[in-house]
Amino acid sequence: MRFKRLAYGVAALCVAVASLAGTAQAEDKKPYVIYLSNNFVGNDWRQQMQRVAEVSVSKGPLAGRVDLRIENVENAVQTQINSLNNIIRQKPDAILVDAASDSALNPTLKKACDQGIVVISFDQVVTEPCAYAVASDWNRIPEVMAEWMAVQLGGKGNVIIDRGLAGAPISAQLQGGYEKVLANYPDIKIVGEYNGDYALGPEQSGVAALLAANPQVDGILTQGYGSGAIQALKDAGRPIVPVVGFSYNVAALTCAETKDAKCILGSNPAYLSSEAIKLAVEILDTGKRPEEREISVKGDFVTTHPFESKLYPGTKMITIAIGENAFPDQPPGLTLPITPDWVDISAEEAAGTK
Amino acid sequence: MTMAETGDAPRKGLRNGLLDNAPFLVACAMLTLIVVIYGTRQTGVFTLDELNLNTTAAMTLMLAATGQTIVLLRGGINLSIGGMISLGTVIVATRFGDSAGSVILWSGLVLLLGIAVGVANGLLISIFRLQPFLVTLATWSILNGVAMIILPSDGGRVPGWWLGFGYLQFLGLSSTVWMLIALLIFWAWFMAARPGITIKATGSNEKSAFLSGVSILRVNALTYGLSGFFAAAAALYLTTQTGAGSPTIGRDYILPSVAAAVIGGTSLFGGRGHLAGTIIGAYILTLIGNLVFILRVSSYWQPVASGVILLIAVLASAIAEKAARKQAA
Repeated sequence: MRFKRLAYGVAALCVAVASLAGTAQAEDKKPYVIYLSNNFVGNDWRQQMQRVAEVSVSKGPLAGRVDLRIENVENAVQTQINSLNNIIRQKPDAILVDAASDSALNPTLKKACDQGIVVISFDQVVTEPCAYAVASDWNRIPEVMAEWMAVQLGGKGNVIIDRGLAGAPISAQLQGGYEKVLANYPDIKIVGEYNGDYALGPEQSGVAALLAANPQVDGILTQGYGSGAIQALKDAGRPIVPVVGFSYNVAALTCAETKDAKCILGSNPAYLSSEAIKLAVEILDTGKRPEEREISVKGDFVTTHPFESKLYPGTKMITIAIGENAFPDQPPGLTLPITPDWVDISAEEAAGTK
Repeated sequence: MTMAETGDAPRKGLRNGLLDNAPFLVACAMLTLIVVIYGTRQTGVFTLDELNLNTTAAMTLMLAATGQTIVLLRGGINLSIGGMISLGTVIVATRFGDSAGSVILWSGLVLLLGIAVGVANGLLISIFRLQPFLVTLATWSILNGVAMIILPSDGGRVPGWWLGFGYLQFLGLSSTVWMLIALLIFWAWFMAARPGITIKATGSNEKSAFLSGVSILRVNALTYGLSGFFAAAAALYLTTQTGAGSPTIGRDYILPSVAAAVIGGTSLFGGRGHLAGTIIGAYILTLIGNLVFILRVSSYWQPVASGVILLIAVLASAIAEKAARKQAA
């Protein structure tokens, strides 16, 4: 009896010591050195991406776990290759890369993989098989939004579509996604197309021209802000019809503040960088690698009128609420939603206004 | 206006020689300074491995800048280098098969295309007496467009063995260092031979070269043809680094190729400069990136530092030319 108790005691002690040692080890472990190689900073998204990367290693579950070093290079393949070579010589634990080219960095990234460095491309991903690719699901985004439009129109009406930027692969993909879904609704007619160039001005003038040419327009599918389209509707004295766009702060605010506006805004969240960091830490912690090379991040849609997608069941919708998920005191170019659910990043932190 | 004086500099003493080479010497001093600073921060800087690594990183720029230096010596400029590099990489990435035969065939064709486009540039410039800047701006645009038509966005593939080229070693030196040595030997021979002398003389003073019986047409065809050849070679080499074609990648080499030459002491007005300086210029531009990285300052300091170095080089060049003019007067 006594012996048994002693044995239990010893066992319990062992477990306690082991678990203590375990936590001690986790806390003592040197932070992982992770480089973020970014090829372009000329827009709001990239800057927000970098800020949220930094914030997400300064608090929450990753606090103190990562020594994050960001290397920006001019938008040139050779400079990024040279920079990556420098990074590889530092023998970091992981390299995250927003790539200048989907293929031209491959040999360099392969070299990093061969040295045991975890390589994760995100946003502008690469085709190198040894590197993970963390990106938004660019099939889901346009298809869900076109489905929403069809639901708003009751499957009937005239719409105009944004072709995006001529020659850009992403533009063709978005337009194709819209058209693919709308083709299922024989009573929805595409009566015009324009190039929005992902800027407010071209969107507004493109929509205005098509409104002038078409007396009946029941919906607008932009690839940009959506707020330019709403402004064009107002200027033309037309009813505010349902609008599809992307989740910039200004778009959400315009939708919320415009009477009768119906909007859905797709999101390519700037916290892709945070997700890439989290993935790197998980791989480094567990040694286990995800089976799929391509990992899609599903940013929630931001909308005035949530709906249940039948094409992508379970798709999450956030209803626009000023102050909560749209921010009048923050820059118009801020991308929503701000934070992934495993860490709490504020709008001020993401915008760099704090 | 200063071409005649600098080109026909009379008997030189040591002082003159120093002055004449001032831009080159300044470039050497700047490179030394960069290497020394780099050496205190990074281990193993003074090893063959480091030389191999940096030569491999700088080789595309070196080849492009070689093509630029030849044209600058002639008193021209070649913007179409950018278009040729883009077009070369997309041809490689879309046409190379896995067999050595197909690689050799298409490499040869890319080099021939480079020469052909270059010669066309030279002929257009001479026959219609056009500005090299404008002619090569136009051909750059054409080549760029054709590259876009062949391959609208980055991609394509090359055989796996093609990728290892820059890291092959022989006697401890990488293939790129050997290429560099071959390039310098070629240059020394070429500039001492008749065509090289003619190019330089025409760059110094076109009129007197013409009067002494030089065919400007032939000089231009030769100069721009060679320039196109080196641009095509840069494209081939670049694909060993990237393993892909890119219809836009060439523009990243246009201005740096001019900058490397100017930093190394080549005059934009023709007649003065040599390849050794250009190579040093290319090393400087590449090492600046390493230095900025190792000092852990923001990477935006790289273009700032490159700009400052370019200014120093231009100042050294201006001082040298002024002194030479004084001497001549």
